[in-house]
Amino acid sequence: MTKPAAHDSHTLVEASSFLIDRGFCGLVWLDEDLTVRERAGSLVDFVSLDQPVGLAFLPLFGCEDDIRALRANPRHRFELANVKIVDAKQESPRLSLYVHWLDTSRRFLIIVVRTTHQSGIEAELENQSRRRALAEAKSIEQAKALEHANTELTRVNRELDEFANIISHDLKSPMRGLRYLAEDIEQALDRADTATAHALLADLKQQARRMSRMLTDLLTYARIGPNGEESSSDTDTQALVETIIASLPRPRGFTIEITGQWPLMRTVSAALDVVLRNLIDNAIKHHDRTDGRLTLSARPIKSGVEVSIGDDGPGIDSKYHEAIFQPFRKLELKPASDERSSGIGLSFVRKTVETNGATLTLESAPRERRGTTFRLQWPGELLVQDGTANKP
Amino acid sequence: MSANLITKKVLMLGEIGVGKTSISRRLSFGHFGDNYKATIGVDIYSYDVKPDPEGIPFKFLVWDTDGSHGESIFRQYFARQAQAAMIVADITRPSTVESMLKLGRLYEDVMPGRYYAYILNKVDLEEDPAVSEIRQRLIATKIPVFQTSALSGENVAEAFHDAAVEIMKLER
Ligand SMILES: Nc1nc2c(ncn2[C@@H]2O[C@H](COP(=O)(O)OP(=O)(O)O)[C@@H](O)[C@H]2O)c(=O)[nH]1
Ligand SMILES: [Mg+2]
Repeated sequence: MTKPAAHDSHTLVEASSFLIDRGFCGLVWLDEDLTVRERAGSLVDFVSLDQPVGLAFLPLFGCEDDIRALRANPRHRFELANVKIVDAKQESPRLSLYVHWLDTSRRFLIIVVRTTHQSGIEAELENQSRRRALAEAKSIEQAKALEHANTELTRVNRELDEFANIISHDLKSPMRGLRYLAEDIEQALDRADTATAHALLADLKQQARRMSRMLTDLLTYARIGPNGEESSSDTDTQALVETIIASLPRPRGFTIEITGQWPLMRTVSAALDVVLRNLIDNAIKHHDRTDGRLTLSARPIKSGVEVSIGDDGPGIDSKYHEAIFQPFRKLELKPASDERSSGIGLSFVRKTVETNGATLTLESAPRERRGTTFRLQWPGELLVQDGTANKP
Repeated sequence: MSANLITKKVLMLGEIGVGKTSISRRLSFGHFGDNYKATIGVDIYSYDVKPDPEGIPFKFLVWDTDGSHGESIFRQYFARQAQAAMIVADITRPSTVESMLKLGRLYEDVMPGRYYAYILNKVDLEEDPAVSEIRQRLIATKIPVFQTSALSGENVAEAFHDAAVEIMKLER
């Protein structure tokens, strides 16, 4: 360690050595042109010698004029309180600097003191006001989040209600059916009528199978939530709809026509697939004629695609327009193949539509004319503005 | 140290919690942490601007102060010595944008002719509609406006690079 210049008073040297040795303070001397010449104490080890002060000791960068000005006013000092040089590699202490002009030795002396801000009342106040400011900011954000959570909660509650209804109305009756069947079997067995008992058992098994299918569908329905992790991909909507059509069974005479402009777009294609597949499947299944006709047309809109699915079937009375979207409601419409359907298709569609921010409307006025048209507006980022127009 | 090295002192200004410390740390350490303690006094970070503007090595000494200084900050020595200021606001809190604008006008009064820019931070969060409105108007002015996220790092280095280039132009 370098000792202070000899002509400084002995007491001062003693006192500073004490503080310096314990790391409370450090000293740095600059010559008149502000070059670092000497230093004392581990606290200022990082200050490199023979460098201009602004470069050797970053906190003083830019303060050169203020330091020089001290020569004219030897009683003044220049101070910089609570500065810290933040370095990724090491935690350095917070320092306060006091720069003096030593007239006798024609040097500047920088007294560097370690400050522990935990003890300062001022620091505590600062920390408090900061905590308050941050808490205020947080509470605003939280209020917004709460509002969002509330609407979400209302929606979920509504869904739960729906579910309760489904369970009570639609699962209760087959359950009752099972119980009656079991009683009938019991009676048949009491009569030793095994033939009837066997026939009833077959019914019971089929009923149980149907219920299990309903439950599976219900679970699938329940799982498509707003947090479904499906992600967007580049989607050729035309290819998508063609693939769907190819995979759906339909009567031999049934025709499906694809028209309009089917854009290329970036969207959640798995969800769009679910919606189109169910709507098309639904239109085929509920058609009352084997030579039915289905027209699928699309056009790009500002924020995605609009698809309309029109059939020339019997139509849906307006009083059922809402009900068809409920799970397990099949109204008076009889699907061609009862076995395949649990009636959950359209509720599934509605849920997927809501989750993806799409809209779905339905036009049908069976009293005036045949046919039903579903109109779907599906969001996505159009990749090519003018998708190719098309033939079937 | 290269003789050609340009070193400039830049102040981080703006209200508490807008992200001054987070931006400074993102800039010089390249990562984001959460919940720094209040900056009592001044934290000094050094940052070498990359790529060198006009091929000349350029270093920023970033002075991160705490917002509670408010407007009195300009009376402090260290502030008067700065060559530039980055004035930060949080896009989720309109009040911080108001203070940012106030500080900007004040800076222009106290240190005319020096570079300063506005930083709208936390773009990873949803912007308050009132802020969007002010932002539209701000972008039409000649004061540089940067939209950053200390969290993702978006635009942080770019803002300081632009600032370095502009500061060099101002000095010519
Ligand atoms: N989401 C997000 N949070 C940020 C961002 N920048 C800062 N924060 C948070 O905002 C709070 C205040 O940041 P800080 O840097 O301490 O602000 P300062 O008081 O201006 O120095 C902290 O909780 C940070 O984690 C950002 O870009 N995005
Ligand atoms: Mg801070």
